[in-house]
Amino acid sequence: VSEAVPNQRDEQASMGMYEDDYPTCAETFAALRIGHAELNPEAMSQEIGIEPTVAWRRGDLLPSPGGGSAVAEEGVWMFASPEELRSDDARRHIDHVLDVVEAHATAISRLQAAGYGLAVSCYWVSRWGYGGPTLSARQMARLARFGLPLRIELYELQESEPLGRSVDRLTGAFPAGNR
Amino acid sequence: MSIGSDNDVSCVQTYATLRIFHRDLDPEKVSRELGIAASEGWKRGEPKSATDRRPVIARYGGWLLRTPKEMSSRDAECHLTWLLDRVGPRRDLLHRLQAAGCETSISCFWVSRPSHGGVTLAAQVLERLAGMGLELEFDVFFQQEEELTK
Repeated sequence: VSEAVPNQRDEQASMGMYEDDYPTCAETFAALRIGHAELNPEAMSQEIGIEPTVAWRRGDLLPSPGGGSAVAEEGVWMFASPEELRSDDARRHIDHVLDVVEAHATAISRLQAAGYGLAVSCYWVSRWGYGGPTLSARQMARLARFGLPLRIELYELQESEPLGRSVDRLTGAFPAGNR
Repeated sequence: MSIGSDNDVSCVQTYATLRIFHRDLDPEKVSRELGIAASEGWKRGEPKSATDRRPVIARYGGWLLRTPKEMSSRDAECHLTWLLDRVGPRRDLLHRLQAAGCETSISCFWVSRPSHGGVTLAAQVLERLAGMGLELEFDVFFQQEEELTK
């Protein structure tokens, strides 16, 4: 997947699909999230054929966004768009994750049929306290084709909190009630 | 999977606006053809808002349909669905306008509780938006801590 990134970037940027210097965004990435009470991360990686960015089992202790830790209510396997994309445009990150979904469509469908909860999450940090991500009709159609809901997590850039992909941001990307 | 709620705790206020722009757009004609009155509309060369003290002269014609103020839901999906229900029966006209070069999109205004909030969109809503060829743009603001104590 990572080898395909530069070509996709050039091709899609030339089509005017992305605005990599998205002015109101300080940081963004997207992730495929798979959750289930009995999810086994190693077995999931074998099933899909790629390694997760982060994964845990039910009962594992996870760092909480507010500090401290919380017990995982379910097992989760997440694949996030890589930092190497170097884009502040959420569309590019969502498309990258959708490319992975399409490349593993059979496994994705099998997991959905087996009752696993699948969704795409998009993490988006506002640089100035306003703005917001843009979604193209094309990628909304791609999400819908796979029956994937989209969760957008919106943050305001805080001077006290450095940017970066920490596990707690990924674990917080789907709060209880939106799984 | 639970998708949103009518009282999204991380949202202070939200509404959505369907926007159609074209250099030569006549908003009255669009309203007539859609059978829907615009929340706002203007032709190129007209002020975008008649009530502005310093009116901005429009370089493009515009037709806007905004979810009503009476709709107090803090679930962005409810607002998007309201727009889709209004325009869905006339999607053929929307496609004709797109083919004629009109820019069409939905803007979702969303005020977040301080520092962090989130929106969930069901696959069915994404499918309807995509089926109408609409881009979705979020216009997010964050409530400040001091506003909570006022």
